[in-house]
Amino acid sequence: MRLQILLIRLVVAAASGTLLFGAEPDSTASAARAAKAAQTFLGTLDETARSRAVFPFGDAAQRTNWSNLPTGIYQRAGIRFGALNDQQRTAALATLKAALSPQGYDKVLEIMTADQVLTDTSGSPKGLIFGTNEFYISFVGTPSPTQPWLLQFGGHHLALNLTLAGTNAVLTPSLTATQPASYTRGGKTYRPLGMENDLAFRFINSLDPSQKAVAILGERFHDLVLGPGRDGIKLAPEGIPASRLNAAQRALLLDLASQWIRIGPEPQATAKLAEVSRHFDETYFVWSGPTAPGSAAYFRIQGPTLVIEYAPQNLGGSAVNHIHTIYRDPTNEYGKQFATP
Amino acid sequence: MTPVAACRLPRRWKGLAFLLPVVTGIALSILQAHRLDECLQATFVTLWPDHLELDLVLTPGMAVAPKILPGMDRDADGVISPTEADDYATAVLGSISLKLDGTPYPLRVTGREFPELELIRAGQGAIRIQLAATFPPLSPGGHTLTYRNSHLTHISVYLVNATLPPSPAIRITGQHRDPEQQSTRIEFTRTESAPGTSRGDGGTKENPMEPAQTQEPRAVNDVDGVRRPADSRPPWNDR
Repeated sequence: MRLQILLIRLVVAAASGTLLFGAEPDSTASAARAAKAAQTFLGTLDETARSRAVFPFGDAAQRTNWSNLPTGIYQRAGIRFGALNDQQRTAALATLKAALSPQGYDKVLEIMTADQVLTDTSGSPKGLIFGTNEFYISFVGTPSPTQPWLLQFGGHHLALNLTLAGTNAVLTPSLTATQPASYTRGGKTYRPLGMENDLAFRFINSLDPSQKAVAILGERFHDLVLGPGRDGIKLAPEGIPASRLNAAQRALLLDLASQWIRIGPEPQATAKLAEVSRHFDETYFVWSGPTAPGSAAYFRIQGPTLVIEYAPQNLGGSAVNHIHTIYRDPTNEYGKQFATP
Repeated sequence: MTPVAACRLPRRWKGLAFLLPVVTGIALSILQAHRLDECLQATFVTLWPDHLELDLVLTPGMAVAPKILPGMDRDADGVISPTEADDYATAVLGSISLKLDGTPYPLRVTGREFPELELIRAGQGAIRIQLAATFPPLSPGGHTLTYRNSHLTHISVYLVNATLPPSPAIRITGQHRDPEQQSTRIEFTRTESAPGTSRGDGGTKENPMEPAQTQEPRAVNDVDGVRRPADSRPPWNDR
């Protein structure tokens, strides 16, 4: 088993061209890039707006001020996208682009666009406000290449909490979600959480009957267990441990987990994947729901330093067209291992 | 990549009256999609060698909050007083049944947190009720806990989960829920190696979900305000 883990590490290393453990040499550059972009964005704001955008690093209330809900049910703090002019909006997006991986940045834009599709087709019923203008950016702590700070970006169906502490970057807890699950723009179809869905079905259907008997807990999907407000909770493991998977299944499961981990910047995302690999034998996968691709099913990947949940929502149309997910590390929420508020 | 220009797309379907029924349907689905008409009740069960803790989190949706609030704010003064909070927590306690190895054990309220009434009314208030039960120190071997929540059954959806036991003497071996997750049967073992007290018991068996102590250190940064990870590993179940 250790040999298999080593092989996975080597494959990841070969693909990324980076070291696997700890921060890599260019993590300093990545931290500086994110901080500079954030400072540039803040520089486009007047003093009043800037004071609304930046919170003290010790502000615990703001640190946990995030939700999947739209404005009207949940009020975020920070700067609303719809209040920004073109220059400010460009600088805000540049901050996200600098702080996230390219695939993470694309996912954020796709989730935002899905939300715009939703508002274009539904308006704002009963005071609920969503769509791309209704996303908020804020900073807990002053952006710095060396001092800890937290970039928060979120709105309906999105809550990113990226703690940057020197060369460390921690994306947990973060929530990605989408409704609709698929939309078309410019003749191209986008599925913001499509890879997550497809890889999960590939994985569950790669299991043999005896493995499925352990991994599948029920025929019905359910909601997120560790959604917003459930910081630091450690669940008893359920399902099938990765130690009972073959090499191909392990690689598939790691690939599935990487869909969340690689939203964050490199090289820290690769380091996080290596950390997850180290604990892979103690990592569990549990499934609840049918296994036919396209079905509505819940799943959870849970290891000592990782919790990922994927939950279709049975409220408001087709459950497969409305997905919530959460990515957590109960040992390192908001980068608490690296940054003391 | 998704076009950023989507941020400023006009509402091109505005005014298309023939789409009204469709749009209305979608709008209703969005309202329903935010659990406005249900109360989510999530229970976390934490087992110790001689007691257990239940952490029950109730989040009433906006549409059902008016049905629930009169039971909390009984004098309708817009404030949930400590007495009203205690009474509501006690009422919830009366809806919970619990058995360990077939024997019912009484629960007691150990804590409750009520958000401001306006937050509950807006559908974003999470009410937290903490319960506990004490039982004689468990004998080594397998045990079964059964739990059922019958609070507000007509408007609720439920989740119930065992947490990772803080004591290495306890190991969860199975969780069997009904489809609605209103009830669960938790199977667990009490190991022989650990002393019987819940605080500071020193079982030697590692918890499968705990990171190995031999793991390689994470990246370390020495700048001010950034802690070294070796000094900052958080305790388990420190919520």
